[in-house]
Amino acid sequence: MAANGPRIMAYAYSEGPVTGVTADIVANSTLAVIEQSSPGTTTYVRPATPELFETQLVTWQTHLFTYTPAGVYTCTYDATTQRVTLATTNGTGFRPVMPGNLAVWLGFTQDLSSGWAESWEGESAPAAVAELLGVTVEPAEDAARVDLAEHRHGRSVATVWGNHQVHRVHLVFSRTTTLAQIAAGYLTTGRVRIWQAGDSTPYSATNVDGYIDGYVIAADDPTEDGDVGELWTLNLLIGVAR
Amino acid sequence: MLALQMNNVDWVEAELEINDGATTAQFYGSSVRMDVASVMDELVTWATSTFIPTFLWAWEKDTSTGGAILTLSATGNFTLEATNTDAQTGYGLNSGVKASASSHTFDSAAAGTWAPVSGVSVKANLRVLLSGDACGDGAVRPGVPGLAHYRPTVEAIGTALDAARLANVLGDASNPRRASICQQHTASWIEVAVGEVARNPAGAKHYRFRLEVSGEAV
Repeated sequence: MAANGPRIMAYAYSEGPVTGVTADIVANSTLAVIEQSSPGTTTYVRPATPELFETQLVTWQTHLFTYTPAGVYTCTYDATTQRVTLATTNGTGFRPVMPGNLAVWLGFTQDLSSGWAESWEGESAPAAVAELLGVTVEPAEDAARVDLAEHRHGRSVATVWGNHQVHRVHLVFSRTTTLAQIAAGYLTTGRVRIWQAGDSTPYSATNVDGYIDGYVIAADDPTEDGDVGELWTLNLLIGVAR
Repeated sequence: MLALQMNNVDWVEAELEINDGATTAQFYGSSVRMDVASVMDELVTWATSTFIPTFLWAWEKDTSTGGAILTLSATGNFTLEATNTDAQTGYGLNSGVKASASSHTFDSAAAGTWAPVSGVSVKANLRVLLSGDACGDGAVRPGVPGLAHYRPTVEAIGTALDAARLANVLGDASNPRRASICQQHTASWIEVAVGEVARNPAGAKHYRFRLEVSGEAV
């Protein structure tokens, strides 16, 4: 799937500090590396705030350059191979360390307990992103709760509460997406961004093919489509604050 | 066309300056929260009594937003300027003076307007009775306190753009939600309170909208 095709990507919660072992939550926010030239030093980096998966990769890359003893790093995701690669560009051998659930989040499910290399590629697709065969994103619906049951002296009143709108989304995953990737939960809970196609600007009332960026309010069970279970499909209800 | 009262426009502040070649005067809405159709009615009445020409207003669907673009015309030439942000947002006018002409088409969709491709269907705009002390079977009794409001059926068919526009304007609607709906066959506007808005697919690329509304809104 091309990088500008339909896709869904999760946000990782993070609240800093940007380096050091200590953080309140390290579920999928913190990446660590040990460099071959300084095997006694483990360098931890994380974003200061919640970030989209691909933004998080860039933040890690910047912080690793700043805080590691020697390495100049690249942290990249390839939409075609659906793999994350962590590498150095200045010949520094290193080993990644995956605190919390980061191994699933990034797809580094292989054994990382030994060895040094200048480039490490995850053996699995990251649970943070899925390239889609297609996606139907219904236009926004106003999610205000309105009470029209007030009549004063024969006059009608519509009182209203609410501050968000919702999108009904139907995801069709490509064959390379496994049920385990969906079941990991990052794409079906919390904050996600869904691109409908190549439009890299946000959805709005005048840009209805833009990406939507919101919180998963409800998710159906994944459904296996096709005669021999070729595809997984999933319905989501996405809420967008306004 | 449906015109909602919006939170993001203060019509008392919104200043529209008109010059007919002899007189320059400014127009302001009569209250803070108004729908743009009511504002235009007031504007036409005021302008016709203030200036020499007779004024008229009209609207047409804006195909790029799903809203409605307004036109103000007169029997003589005049200049037009929305002098502040409230006026520019409310009327859909850019800043600056519009050169003297007998008709001015505004620059963008007016605030709170929704003009789906099918038009807005208003059916059975009749009084209904609630149950209560003054309720009676049979004939509807207008004017009985607490009873006999209008309860029309309001429907429309629109595109994804119309769907997005409606959600967008509802997000900035004032509280309580009031709107005016153009009933084209009677060339009149009905004022309603807008309740739940339901949307269903109507074919592959269109949506059917059903609006819960109630007439004689406060």
